[in-house]
Amino acid sequence: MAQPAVVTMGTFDGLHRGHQAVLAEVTRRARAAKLASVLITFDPHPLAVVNPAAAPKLLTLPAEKEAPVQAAGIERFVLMPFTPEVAQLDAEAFVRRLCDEYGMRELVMGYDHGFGRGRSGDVELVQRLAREQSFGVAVVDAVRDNGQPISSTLIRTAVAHGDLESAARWLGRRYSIRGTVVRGAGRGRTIGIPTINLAPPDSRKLLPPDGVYAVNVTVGKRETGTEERYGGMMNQGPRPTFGEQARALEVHLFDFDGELYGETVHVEWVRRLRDVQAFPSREALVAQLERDRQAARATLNR
Amino acid sequence: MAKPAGPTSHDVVDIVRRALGEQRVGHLGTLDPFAKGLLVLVVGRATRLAPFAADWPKTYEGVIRLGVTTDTDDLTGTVVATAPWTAITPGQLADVIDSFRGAYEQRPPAYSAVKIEGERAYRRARRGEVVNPEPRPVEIRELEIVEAAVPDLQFRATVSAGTYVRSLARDIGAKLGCGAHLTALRRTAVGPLRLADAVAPEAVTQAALQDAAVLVDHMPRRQVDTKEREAVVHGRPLRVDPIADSRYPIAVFAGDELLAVAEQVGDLLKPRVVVADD
Repeated sequence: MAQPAVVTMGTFDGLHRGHQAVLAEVTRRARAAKLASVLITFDPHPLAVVNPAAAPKLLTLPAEKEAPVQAAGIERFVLMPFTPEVAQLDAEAFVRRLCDEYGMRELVMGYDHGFGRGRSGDVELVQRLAREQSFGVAVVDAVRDNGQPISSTLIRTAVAHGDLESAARWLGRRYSIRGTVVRGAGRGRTIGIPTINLAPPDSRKLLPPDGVYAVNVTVGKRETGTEERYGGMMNQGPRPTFGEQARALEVHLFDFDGELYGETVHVEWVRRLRDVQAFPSREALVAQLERDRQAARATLNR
Repeated sequence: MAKPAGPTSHDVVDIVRRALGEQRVGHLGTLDPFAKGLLVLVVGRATRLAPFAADWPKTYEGVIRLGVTTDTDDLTGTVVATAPWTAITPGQLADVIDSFRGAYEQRPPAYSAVKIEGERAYRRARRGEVVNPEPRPVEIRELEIVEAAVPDLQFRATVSAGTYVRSLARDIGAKLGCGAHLTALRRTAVGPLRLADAVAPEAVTQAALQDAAVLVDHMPRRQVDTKEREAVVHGRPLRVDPIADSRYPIAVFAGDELLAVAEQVGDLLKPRVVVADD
């Protein structure tokens, strides 16, 4: 039998400020009632199973969710495989499962949340089920920016159009990607701009438009278990040898000299500096990269 | 504009229209004549952006008088009922105020501009008809009593667009069992705009106008280059990466200059309201 818990469940794409309000309510209630706090999310995104054509690219891949969930004070992070069988569960069966398998005593849900087959598990139905199966329900209102509810869709729109400033305002932190450093061609080193190369990002991850970006990079060192933070600039562009959709992410770190192969890095997009472009000569490229470096440093120092 | 108590919102629009020599002047939400404070005017082509700011929340300060109900729900109306308020305890008051925070179904005042079967409610009310406008969902995001010098409650509130503060006063009075009406109202903020930055109607000049870009403050933005700018100002769509669920309007900028509000359909970004020149 699972430990009695306050549960919330959903896709939580982005873990944005609206989601953070839900998580804060979960931890508040868990503390007040001396219950465990549990977040259940799905992999893959339910729409990818139910209606793949309508499935959006994601702000946060499943593996990227754990850190912000823990930072919010949630004790247990559950990644539930969203199988066709799970997709078939109606809201009632779903709720029963939460009670039986996850010890749910209280359910916290967002104002617009719907779950179970056909999203039939809306606030009204859940309140009825709560009375029948005697668990508590709390509904958390939207967090708004000038009247507009903050939503994953809104933030995806901003990121897709390169508006990282708005995205950061609505996420409550900068938009970011987690990746592993792999060996690159070493071209950067030959022109005095060494880069770290990220493994091609998961095709489900939403990337802003291609271009050159000012970025912040956190490097987790496996050996020492420490974290280091650097400013940098990132070139994000096509990587034709890996298919049309594949993207190369090459980051030049400021004030860093060394190797990071195999390490995990966390890259925050701060601001788009320019489009990706072809240069007529090596000199022209080097001169532009120098201007980019100055622009990126100026942005990051602001 | 910092509207004084007295003139209608439309009077202020007229003053500004004359002062600027500009026919197209609108506003983002009426302030009743007795109310003062921030009245946001939109001028020239910016009037076409006003619908995008229609959902901005509004912040007010004011005074609710307990024990007296009027037909307009404010001090300009005729008293229709009085009731004792002396038995109301601070605890009771706190509970009632607390119960209004969040969403509720609010009936607009009988004297309001909402339409009933195509006719303004206040016209019907003035003819002596019994008017009961349909309740509609509103949200009281913040509500706090700054000072309770009963029967006067000085309050501060941030409410969703479409909320009538007169109705809120009436409903608070009804729930307390004594009735109430609004005796003073001052609007201090509309969305990102603050009363502190407003100017008096007679002091308005072209130089006092703000950039219309503030009206799209809450939208995702897209930056375009010189070539794309050319297309956008002529209303031609841009080809962009498709996104799965594109239901939000997008503000299109060239640098700091707002060009248009666009809508994404598939892989096309279609300018819907263009505000920049060639």
